[in-house]
Parts: sequence; structure tokens; C-alpha cells
Amino acid sequence: MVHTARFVSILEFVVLECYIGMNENVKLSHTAALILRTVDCGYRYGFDIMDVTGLPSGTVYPALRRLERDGLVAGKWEDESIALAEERPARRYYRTTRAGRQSLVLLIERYPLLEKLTPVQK
Amino acid sequence: MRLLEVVLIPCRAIVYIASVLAPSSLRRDWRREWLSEIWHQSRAPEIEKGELRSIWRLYCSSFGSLADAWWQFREDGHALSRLSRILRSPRFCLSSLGLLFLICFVVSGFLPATRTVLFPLPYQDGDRMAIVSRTGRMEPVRRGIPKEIAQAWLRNSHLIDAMASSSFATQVSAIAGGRRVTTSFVTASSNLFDVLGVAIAPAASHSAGGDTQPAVYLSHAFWEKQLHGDSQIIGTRLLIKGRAEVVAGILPVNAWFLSPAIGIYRLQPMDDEAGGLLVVHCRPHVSTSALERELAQAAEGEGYAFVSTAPHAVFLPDAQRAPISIFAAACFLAMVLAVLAHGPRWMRLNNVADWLPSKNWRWWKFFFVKTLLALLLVFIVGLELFVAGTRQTMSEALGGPALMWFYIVGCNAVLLASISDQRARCRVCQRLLGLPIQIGCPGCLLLDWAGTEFLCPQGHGVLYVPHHVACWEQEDTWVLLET
Repeated sequence: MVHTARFVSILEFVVLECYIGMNENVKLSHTAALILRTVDCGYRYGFDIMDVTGLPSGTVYPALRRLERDGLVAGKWEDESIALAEERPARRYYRTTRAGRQSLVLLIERYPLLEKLTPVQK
Repeated sequence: MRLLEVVLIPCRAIVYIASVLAPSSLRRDWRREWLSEIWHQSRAPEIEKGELRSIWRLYCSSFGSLADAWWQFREDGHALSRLSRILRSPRFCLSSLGLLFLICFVVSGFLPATRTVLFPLPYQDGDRMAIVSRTGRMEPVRRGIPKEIAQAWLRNSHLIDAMASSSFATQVSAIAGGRRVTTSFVTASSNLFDVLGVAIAPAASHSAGGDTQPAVYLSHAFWEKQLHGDSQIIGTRLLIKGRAEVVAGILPVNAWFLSPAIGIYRLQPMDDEAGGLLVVHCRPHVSTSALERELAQAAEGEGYAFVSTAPHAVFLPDAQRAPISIFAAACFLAMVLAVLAHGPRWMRLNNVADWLPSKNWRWWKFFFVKTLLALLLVFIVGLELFVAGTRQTMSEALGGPALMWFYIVGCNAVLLASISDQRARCRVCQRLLGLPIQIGCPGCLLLDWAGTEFLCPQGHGVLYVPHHVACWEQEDTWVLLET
């Protein structure tokens, strides 16, 4: 009985999360969607995204903050030792989260041109 | 490498300024990220080559940090309350006054009129220099002192050593070096600068045909600003009022007479001079009344009488200090009015001991600093507005009616506003009180409230302000909640 109740509550939570997540995705503007797609393509820091999208820094950074707040991207400081070895300050890299990738699928349906952005060659 | 470091300085400054908006918990990481990104972008080959377009792009990118910080600020749940806290703080009040000072300083061009009034006069014997005029007011429409009377006075005087004469200042348009320039102009006797004790360096002066011919001297500021410091101007001709005048020299940097705004001084023999005002070098311990009396006696000896107006003498330091005296008088008047307006309230305070400076030193200190800054601002703004543009700054006309009224109104407004502001502040933390709560029943009092309570957001106390005073004793009440 207890297990069933727990299962139902978990299911309810997941469904609710997915529903809210989908709604959140739909609410993303084209610019935010473009930035999310850019991050997903492997452009991992602010100025790189600015170069690719042509958007100004005053747009890119607040959009990244919002995506990070909504859990669609995650920012992480690179290892200090790598930056030290290369004699440069450490960078904060962004990557899409699982929720972000799921949102992107829906967003590409809404903004089909986003698909034309090709991933970075590594 | 050095160029890169120089290029990065403004970018870093922008990021540091913007970071003030970012929430303190995120500030360090936020700043680190921006500085790192800017550092990486500055390593682009185009910037290393010094390509201006790329450098400009880097600056534009740095400005994005302001938008980002603003987003962070708005995102912070407590941003509005934080903003309200900042606006209510005593520090904000003092910073605003400081900022106004800075704006005044920059806009006026480093306070030229204030410097004129406060700095020592540029004369050798400034304390013994006096200006004698016919009315005390420098009005070009009035006649000055006749030159025969002036010469007779100089011959027979026991009080003065030397004398020069000067016209009133007028605005002229001159042509110098092919350029048309507009400035203030004065005609004076040839010995004006000798009497004043202003030494003009021989290298900066040019013989313009001895003392018998008119010669034109330019003020250093006029020469530097209007003629772009053209050293070839000495010896050339200047067209003033259709007459060609030879430029004989440039005055030393800080030398001026009547006003620093005067750009051209035309010196000519005293015999040719139309009567204006007299500049006299007095012997020690001479008073203005003695000077006036002796001039009147000299005039009588020549069969001339000052019928409608008595001659008026003023020592140059006194004339220079006139605005300070007017300001001091205006401050005194404002204090008297403040005591008359608020005195009865202070007399009725029950807990007078709590208001004494010894018990509430911080509260009084803030009040004095705020009032002093605001009064100083009025003083400076008055000088820069009403003195900088005038041409007669060395007489009592310096503190003309406009300046006097400005000071009277300004000082009163500042003092009353300062007291009102202080009354609306918390007695403990000096922040402006807020969260007003209406007290009473509006229906019982002709649709008005009995009073309002203001609460200190920090919980220090409550101020009750009655709108309808039930008895003469009822006044603002401050209830201390905690200290």
C-alpha cells in the first residue's frame, strides 16, 4: 500500500514535471531557443555563442542565466589546473542538460530553422 | 602586451562597476566569468594588432555586463527591497549631494567663480587697493568721477600713493588673427597694472610706442582659449570697435582686474581717459570713509560737488568677500526663521534630554553634515550662476540683488528641507521611515485621517504624525521600539 502510494506520487511528480517542462519550453523565445541550440551544438561559452549567433553580449548572458535557472543548461568552471597550465584564466563552460535536450526537440518543431545550425567539429 | 593591458583597463572597470548590481552571493563568480571572457576575447589576433574596430567591439561586449548584472539584480527576489533600502539610507542622501557637487564642479569648468572669490587677489598689495566709484554700483549709463577731480585728489591726497583709472567693462566683438571673438573689454590708464602691482614679464610684453600710444593687453585665459595660445599674436593688430590696436602683451596666468571674464585691457594715457572708476593704492591704515571724505573735499576745492550721489570707496578684498558676507547673512536669516518655525515644537518636547547631541550624536552628525553640504552647494551654485558671467566682480555689485535673493531663498529652502528630512528619519539608524499607516476614522473627521504612523523598516521605532491636532500640545511622537 505504501509502495503503491509512493509510486503514484513519483508518477504524479514526473508527469507534472514533464507538463511544466513542456510549457516552459513553449514559452522560450526564438533567441533563447537559438542560444540553447548553440550550446547543444558544442559552443560552450558566452563569447563563442556571441560569435556564432551574432547576438550582443547583453542578450546572450542574461539568456544563458535564464536557461541555467530553468535547468535547461548547466554551467561549470573548468579545471583550474588546465587554465593554469595554459597561463590563462579559467572559463565557465555551459552544456545542455537532459531537460534542455528534451525541450530542444520541441523547440525545433516550433522553430525549424534551428536544425540548420550544425554541431561544432571536434 | 602592454597595449592589450591598456585596452583591458576600461573593460575591467565596466565589469567592476556592473558587478555592484549583481547579488553579493553571486558577485564573485559573476565577475570572474566576465573578466575571463573578456580576457579570452582580447587575445584575438585583430586586437593584438591594435585594430580599432575589434577593440571597439570588445568595449561593446563589455557593456553587455551591465545588462547581465541588471538581469541578475532583477532576478534577485530582494532586489526591490534592497533598492528601497539604498534609497532610504543616509549614505544615499550624502552621496547624492556629493554627486551634485561633482556635476557642478565639472559643468562649471572647475568652479571659476568660486576660485575667484576664495583665492587671494593677484595683486602685490591687495589689502591696500581700493576702487572708488561715483555710486558704488557699476552702471555704464552713469558718469564716473571726472578726471580733473581725480588728478586734483591725487596731487593733494595724504591717503593715497598712486592712482589709475578704468572704464566700466563692456562686451565687444574683436577681430584677431582673422578670427572674430567676443569678450569683455576695459579701457584703463597706462599705469593700471603698475598700480595693481601685476608684473608683466618683459618677454610677454611688446613696446607699443611708449606710454603715449594706446596698447592692448590680453588676459591669459582669453589668449589661451579664444586665440589658442598663438604666440605670434604679440605685436599684431587687433580690430576692436573698428579701431586697430596693437597687442602689447599677455597678462600672467592668474592676473585679472574687475573680473576674470575680461579678455582685453586697453591701456592709454590718463589724460585721454573718460571718467569711470578709480583704482587707488592707499597708505596703511586708511578707511573707506576717510577716502570718500578726502575725495569730496578735493572736489569741493575744484568747485565741483557730488550733488545727487556721494563717492563710494571699497577695498578690493572686501569687494571680493562680498558674496561670502551675503551668504553668511542669508544663513543666519535662515537659522532665525527655522528657530521661529520649529522652536515652539522643540519647546514642547517632553523628552528633551533624549534629543541632546550627547545622547544622539550620530543623528546630529548626519544632520549637520547633510545641511552643511547642501548649503555649500547653494553657495557654489549661486557664485557660478550669478558671478561667473558678470563683468563687474570687484565691487559690491558682485553680490548683486540676484545673488542675494538666491542665497536667501536657497539657504531657507535647504534648512527647512533638511529639518523636514531629518524629522522623517529613524532616530536610531537615520534611514527614512516608511510603511505609512493611516490612523483614525475618516468619516468622523470630514473624510480625513487623524494621523499617520511611519515605521522604521529595521524595527527601531514608530513616528506618529497627527493630521488633526486635538490640542496645542499634540505634536509628532516618536516611540522607540528597540535600540
